[in-house]
Amino acid sequence: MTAAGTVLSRLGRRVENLRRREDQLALVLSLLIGALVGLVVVAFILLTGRIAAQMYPPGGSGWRRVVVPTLGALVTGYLLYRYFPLARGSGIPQTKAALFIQDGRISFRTVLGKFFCCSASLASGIALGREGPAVQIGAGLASVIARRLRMSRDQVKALVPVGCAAALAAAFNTPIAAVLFSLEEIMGDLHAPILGSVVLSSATAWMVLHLVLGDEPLFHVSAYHLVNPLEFVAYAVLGVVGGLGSVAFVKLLLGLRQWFLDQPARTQWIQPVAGGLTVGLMGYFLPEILGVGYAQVERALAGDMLLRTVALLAILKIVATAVCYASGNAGGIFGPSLFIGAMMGASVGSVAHLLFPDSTAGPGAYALVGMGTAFAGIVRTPLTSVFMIFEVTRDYTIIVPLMISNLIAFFISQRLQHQPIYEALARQDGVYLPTDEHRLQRARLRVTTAMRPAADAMLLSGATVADALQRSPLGTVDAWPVVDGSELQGMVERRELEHALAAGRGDQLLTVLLRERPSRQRTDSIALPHVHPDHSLTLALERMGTLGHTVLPVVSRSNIRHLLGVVTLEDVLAAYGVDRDRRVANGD
Amino acid sequence: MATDAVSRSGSLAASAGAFVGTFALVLAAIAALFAIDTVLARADRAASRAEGRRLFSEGMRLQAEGDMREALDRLRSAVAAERPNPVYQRGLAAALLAAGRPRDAQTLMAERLQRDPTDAEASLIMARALAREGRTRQAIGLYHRAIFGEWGDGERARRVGARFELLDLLAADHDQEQLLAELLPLQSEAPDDPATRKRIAHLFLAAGSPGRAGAMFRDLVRQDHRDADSYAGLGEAELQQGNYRAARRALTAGLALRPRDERIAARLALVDRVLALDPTQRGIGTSVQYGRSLVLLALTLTAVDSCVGAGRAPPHPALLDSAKASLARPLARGASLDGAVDAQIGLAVRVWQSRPHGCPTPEFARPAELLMGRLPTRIAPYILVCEE
Repeated sequence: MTAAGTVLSRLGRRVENLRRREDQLALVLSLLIGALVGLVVVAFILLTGRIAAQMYPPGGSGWRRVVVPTLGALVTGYLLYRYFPLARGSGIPQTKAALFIQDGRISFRTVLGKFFCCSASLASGIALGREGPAVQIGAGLASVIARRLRMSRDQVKALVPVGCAAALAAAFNTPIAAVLFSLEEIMGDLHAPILGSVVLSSATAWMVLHLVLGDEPLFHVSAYHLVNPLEFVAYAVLGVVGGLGSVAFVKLLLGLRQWFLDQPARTQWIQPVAGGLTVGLMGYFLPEILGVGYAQVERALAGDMLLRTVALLAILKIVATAVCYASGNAGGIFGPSLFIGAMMGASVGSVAHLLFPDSTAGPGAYALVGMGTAFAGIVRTPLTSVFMIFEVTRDYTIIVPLMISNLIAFFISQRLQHQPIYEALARQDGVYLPTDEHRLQRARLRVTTAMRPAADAMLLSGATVADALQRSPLGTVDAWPVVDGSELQGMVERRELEHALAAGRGDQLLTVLLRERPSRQRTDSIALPHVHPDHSLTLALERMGTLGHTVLPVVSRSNIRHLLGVVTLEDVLAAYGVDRDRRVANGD
Repeated sequence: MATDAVSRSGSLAASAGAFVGTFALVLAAIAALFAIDTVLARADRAASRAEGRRLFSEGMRLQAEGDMREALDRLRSAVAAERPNPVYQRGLAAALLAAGRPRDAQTLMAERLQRDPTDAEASLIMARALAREGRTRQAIGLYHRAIFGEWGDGERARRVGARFELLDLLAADHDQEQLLAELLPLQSEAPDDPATRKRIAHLFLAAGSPGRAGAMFRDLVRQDHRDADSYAGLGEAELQQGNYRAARRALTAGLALRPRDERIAARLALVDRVLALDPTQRGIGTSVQYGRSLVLLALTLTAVDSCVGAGRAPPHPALLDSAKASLARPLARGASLDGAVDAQIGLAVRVWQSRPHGCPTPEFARPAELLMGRLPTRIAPYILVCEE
């Protein structure tokens, strides 16, 4: 072998070693993904903004505002239909589907399609948002990089939320909310073990954003505060209005989308034109409805819009966004939710200020709270929405009314619209994502719900082998806990007893039988198979499978020798709703 | 075996190459995107700046034309287009103030001052907004921040302008003590032109320092014998110091220069009434003094009665009865006229001082009011003796 070959081989081995240390590699990748995604999202924002300014400049003619979104929808509709079918819509349900169903696999083609189609779509004035697509772009880039590095399936999946957080941190300038959103919405688990990577990528993307665009928040918001404690009532009313508005928006969007989905498949490429034309016609009379609309949100936050304007904008934006999204345009509902919320908030605030000018803050404060309220009602991530507004305003004083309003909207939305929007959208596409209900049920099913009292199943250490076999409580199980007083001495298996009986040791005491075992099995508490009452039934099942037992002792966490009860395979199945007897009776 | 090793090392190298290549690709993409983003951001900022400039000038034009609604819209858009630009922020705040929205102007300037606490112009707008809302104490603090802040071009003149605004506020608030404290440093800071000195002299009058005002007006009159305003100011300063004859001379000179000036004429008429009422004037006989002291007492009594008649409780009924009795009682034969004059003046002073707080002075009693401002010091020893 040549010297160069040796060096290459050595280098190859070193790289291979590095590649195998996936945890460390994931941290390095979190930084790189954060930087890359941050830069891509900044380019996405700048491109969209610049092109939009050219497409429908302020003060431009009315016909232009009708033609540009219609043409934009036509062109992007065809591209999405022909080349990038996975780049339709928001990007968040698609990302979740990729994460939970396709092992985190998102193609580079989808990333490209999302970037260019969304840029064109949003720049032409389609009333959708850029944050959802940014999330899919970020997740897609993370997935592409991880797969190119031949990382394991689990690591690819773990890096997808890392890309999401980076994208959201850069798109919305809210690094903490981005982390929470990735965990709360994308992963559906705030305690996910990828927290470190998600935080790293979010912080990196945020730094990149600041490096390129400077230290300017997305919205400039005045320092609002509670004028009078009675204002909480007005904020509660805002919560109700926000909740009802959110439900109306979600139901309209889902209904319209189902209608579009029911149309012949060959019309799919032209369907987005319906959205473009709708928003164009609205924009002819009210240009503020076009595009993402953050300039209008800022004006509402400054309390500088008339009551009738904000009320009209709230209603029209609900319709425009619902039609644009349902007809298959590329773009998200994250931004429109904030727009709708700001306008609803400003409307409620204007009325409150009109009625009680001395006891209420200006409409701007309500617009701010309204943003969080609509977000909590539509997207159903209350924690993210609170932190997001906190980060946008960088002001703590508005947080308490915000929390009250958010929770009311969240509660109303939950009651009146059973499925959260991203889950419902995925279901319309035939994708069944893990639901909150499923997660809650999983959390609810614990050993304590299925265990039975110890007295029903235990054997006394003073009993003989023959007695034990004859008694054999809970006949269907294959092992029993043996107790001395209240102390668990160990588990004795049926075949162990049968062996002892066959060997003529039927009179032997169980305590002697257990003592004859190898010392480790007797003394090591870890070796003693068990579960605790707060363990999940899934874990109990896993342990039963590993040990080959159909029963496990349930012991106290403070004293592993203190037997609290037993849990059997039959109990676990019954807790999951599997009725064994009936199955047997049916001959299944 | 050697072939296997070579093939294995080759595959390892290829795998490592792909791994390193991906990293290199990502790093190259980061570098390229950073460059693209920087160019895009620069272009975006340039476009925003140009848009901001256009909107700001349009907003200022609309404001000058009186179309405040459209002006505010443009100015707000200008601020949104180039947020860190303090000129746009201050322009918008000033427009908001002019549109009668001091609270919004304050909010905007509070943000600006948070970013740059030394921005004198922002402090000044904030001070004006606070003053407009009647929050004088806070406004004074902001005026001070403006006076000692960073002004940039034309610093001295703008600083003096801010101090004058503060002085006007203090004068309107009748805070004579602070007004005087602010005025003293202004004497050395302000430009030495007659208009500014005249303004300062008037402010000294408002600050209750007629001596300083008189000295300044005298200087001004010396420099320009044909300045009616300075004569009027000097007359006022002399009047406040109780130099009625000197006040009359100055006001007469002023009226001669501007015969149709009703304000000077009114002040001269008042001085004449005071001169005709003053019982302590030199060069008049004792009987005239006595007569004037009776008129003075009668005037003060009537003024107090009018106040009581307006719903206020009589201050000291016994004192009023005693004064009325003194007016009704003829002078006892053989009594000292000098003593009677002093007694009447003393009684008039006590009646005047016993007026309920906040009692307005009727027009007819103005000369009495002016006299009462200085009589207590002249006759204080007598009053003390009486009270003992």
